[in-house]
Amino acid sequence: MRILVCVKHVPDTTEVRFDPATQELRVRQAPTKINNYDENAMEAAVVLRQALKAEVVVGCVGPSEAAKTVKEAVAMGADRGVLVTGPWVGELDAAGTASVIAGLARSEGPFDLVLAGDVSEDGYHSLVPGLVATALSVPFVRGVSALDSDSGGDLVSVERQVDGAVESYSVTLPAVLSVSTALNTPRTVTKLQVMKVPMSKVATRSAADVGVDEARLTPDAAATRLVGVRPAATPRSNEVVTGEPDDVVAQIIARLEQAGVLA
Amino acid sequence: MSALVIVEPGQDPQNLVALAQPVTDAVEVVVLAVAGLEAGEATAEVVAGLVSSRGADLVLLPATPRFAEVAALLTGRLDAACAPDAIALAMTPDGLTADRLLYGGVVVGTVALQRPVRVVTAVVKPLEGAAAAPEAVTPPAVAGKTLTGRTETAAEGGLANAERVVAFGRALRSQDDIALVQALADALGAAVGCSRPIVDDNKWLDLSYQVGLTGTTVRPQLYLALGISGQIQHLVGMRDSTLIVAVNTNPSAPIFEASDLSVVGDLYQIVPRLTAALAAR
Repeated sequence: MRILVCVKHVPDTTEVRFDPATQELRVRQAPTKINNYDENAMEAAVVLRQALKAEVVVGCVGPSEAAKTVKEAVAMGADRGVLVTGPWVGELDAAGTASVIAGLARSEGPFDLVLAGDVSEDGYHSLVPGLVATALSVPFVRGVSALDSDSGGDLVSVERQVDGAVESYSVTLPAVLSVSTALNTPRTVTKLQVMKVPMSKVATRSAADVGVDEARLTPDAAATRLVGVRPAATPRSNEVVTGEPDDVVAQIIARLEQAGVLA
Repeated sequence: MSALVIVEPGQDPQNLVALAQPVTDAVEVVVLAVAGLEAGEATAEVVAGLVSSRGADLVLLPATPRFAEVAALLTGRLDAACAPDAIALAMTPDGLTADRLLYGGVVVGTVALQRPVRVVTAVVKPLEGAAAAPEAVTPPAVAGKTLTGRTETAAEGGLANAERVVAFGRALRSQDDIALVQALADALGAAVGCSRPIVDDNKWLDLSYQVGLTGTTVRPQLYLALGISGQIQHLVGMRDSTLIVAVNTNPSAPIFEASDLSVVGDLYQIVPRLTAALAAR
């Protein structure tokens, strides 16, 4: 069995700021990291690797510095990693990313299973795994919260939580699954373990290497293009209350009464 | 432009209709029953058929876990432009654009949708009153994916539609202390929620209690945040609440920037007294 785990290199969104003076989004200065949701996909792959002697390949589409994210994922227990990069990565949309990952899956594959986290912390589209499945013409399940593979490795049983129900599916491989954080607890790796991953385990590919025409990855050719950003603040009264607990409680109740929240 | 709004029975299409109205007067609502269409592939095939038969170029779907799967598959199938979790649509010199939150809700991004068919998802509310009759459809076969079970789960703690929410975060020292929070919630007639570390790190509660980006988005009359620092991932899930009261020992906690009433204090001092005072009313 061969498994591709898609990981995204993302800015730490808690450090992304909007500068009201320049009307600019400060993304580039923010520290970068592996998308947390993809760590759950990595953990699932590592468990399957041990159970089924699967080969696990980390796939990433991102800037050259995303090599550190690939190394981090490989350190969790993958056999190797592949970073697809080029001058086009900066403004790539979800559909463009999916086309590159599908190309990677074909050129490095065939893969029995493609795993990813349900969402990325930056764009939060939750589109790429489903688009990859469509491009590869294989089944897709989003929100996988339980995963069992039969020993032969040509079928998986999954559960997912939807609105008001838990559903289970039997899925024929090859398939694409995106996983929820409820699936498992990702193992942690130390900085030393990440450092010890030799760069020979991280291959770099261009769009052409994975069979994708760069001309199709421009913002104009993309399905979606970001044309503006503005701050998303909601004004609040920010009335500060402090002091003795009994006084504080009285002030809270007064505020709730004033707002008509108490019956 | 012609819009097609898809909902399940029990979902109010109004938010989706209102979202489409600035860009088209031609809005048709179709109700699709879940049975037989559980797999996203099946729903996507049915919706793709409706898009074709109705000549729609804008599809609006509920922003729910089930339709997130459908939206991705439909977008791939139709080579569409997709804006998940949209908050506004507009016709601009860039064509049809969608506004949506980016980077955990720090900014609103305006996205041009550069394909002939656009797929948009947005939050919907539960339907009050009678639902329209579901569209008669023949569930299509799905290759390689078979539903083997479906268990209805308890009513998700009612968090999404609660008019009052009491939520707690890392400042709660032990799982046993959730009883303190529950007692206050009971006194207020509120639902209990929590921040992401309580679910992901502590594993004290399941995902249905989590407020925020990966959990539930709430818009109650009252949101009472106890010992929640206010990471942007949390704020995006509660900042449309009518009245926000936060209790935190750290006067510079980010939650206070999003609060109407910023209570600088220890939840262990305040919560039992507040519960008692409410009970005495």
